Amino acid sequence: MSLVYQLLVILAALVVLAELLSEKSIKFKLQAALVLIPLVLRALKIA
Amino acid sequence: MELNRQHLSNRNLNLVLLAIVVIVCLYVTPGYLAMRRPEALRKGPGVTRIAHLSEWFEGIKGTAGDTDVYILDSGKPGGSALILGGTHANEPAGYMAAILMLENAVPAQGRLYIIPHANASALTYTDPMEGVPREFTLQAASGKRVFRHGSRATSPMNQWPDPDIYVHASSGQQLSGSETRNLNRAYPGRADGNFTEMIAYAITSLIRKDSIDITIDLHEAAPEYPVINAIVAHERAMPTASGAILNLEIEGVVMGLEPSPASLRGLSHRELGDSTATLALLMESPNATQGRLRGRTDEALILTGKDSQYVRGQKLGRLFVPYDEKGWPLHLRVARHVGGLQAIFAAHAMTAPERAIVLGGVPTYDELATKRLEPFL
Repeated sequence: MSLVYQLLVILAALVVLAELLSEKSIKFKLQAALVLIPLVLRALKIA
Repeated sequence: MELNRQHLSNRNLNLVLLAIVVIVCLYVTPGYLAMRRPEALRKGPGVTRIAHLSEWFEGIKGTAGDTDVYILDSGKPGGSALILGGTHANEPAGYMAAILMLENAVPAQGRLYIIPHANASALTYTDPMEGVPREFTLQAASGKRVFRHGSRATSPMNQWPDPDIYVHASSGQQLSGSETRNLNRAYPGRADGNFTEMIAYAITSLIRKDSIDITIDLHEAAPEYPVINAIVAHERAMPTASGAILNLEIEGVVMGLEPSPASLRGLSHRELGDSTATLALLMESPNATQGRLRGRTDEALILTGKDSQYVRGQKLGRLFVPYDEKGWPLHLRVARHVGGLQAIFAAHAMTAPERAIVLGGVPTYDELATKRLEPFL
């Protein structure tokens, strides 16, 4: 995975994190948290 | 007051959810990282040197593709052969046969190169949608040994994302985008290509620089796949492959012979035969763990190959290999590969005696079929 793609994944993770923090609905917050997990693992080059 | 309470509750919920994300990430990380540790293989009595693949192409030095190359040199004139295991790290009979060879073979004539994990990157992860185990255990003569089970393609950690369509560089052939990480669609490879193409290029460079006479790529296939229990041979390797089939028939082992299709590009038996002087061959054994008809996929399925769905598939005439309640155990699949290798070397010695590769210490097909793998590991 090149640095460019890693930066894109970090950007996506930040967007989802912002969504998690600003969303009012518990259901959508939970969805954002679930989406965040693989993004964090990919951004850190773990999985 | 009410607004403040709501704000506080929202903030607490955010903290709880973020804590869950962190805990899940911390919980799964050791498992993923453990798969990247190099597998401990025993250096057999015939191994004279362990090199890195980057010795033949610097471009992969220090990367996950810089796999070990075991060299078994008799010191006597003869031919040279390269055995590739783990081109697909989800085909355990292929790399277990290579491991068994490097831990037991003692060459009496010629030189043998063994790459047990040709795509070492593919061994560092499993496909999330396949649900296969990460490892399997054998109670070997040398003690309990754990072997890893990986994936068909290069890890996305090393090459990602995939394009929509994979275009094979030298032919322009178009395949599904995921095939861009398949080592056996990347030959002959490119020095300035993607990660998988660079591994392929390094292997091609080894064959060219060290004038390898025979290259044998060890694979497995799903029982419903038509090319199975067979040797696939480049046209220049056909006489050797035919001789090997006859040698195996004498031993009571039935093996098919498939010509390498000229139009199917990127595969070892096609590209290595076309772009180098080596005799390029590939062997396939039946592996239910890869199949679409399989039931529960666990360590037992890897080791025993027993699957009631495949027995049913056989009765319905959907398979290309006999399948009954006995299954296709790993030791029998490895026996076919090891027996096949010896048969190929014997056939090559008949056609080119001055370039013969003679090996001692390798268990026969019958020994592996009856005693299993454990005494030889």
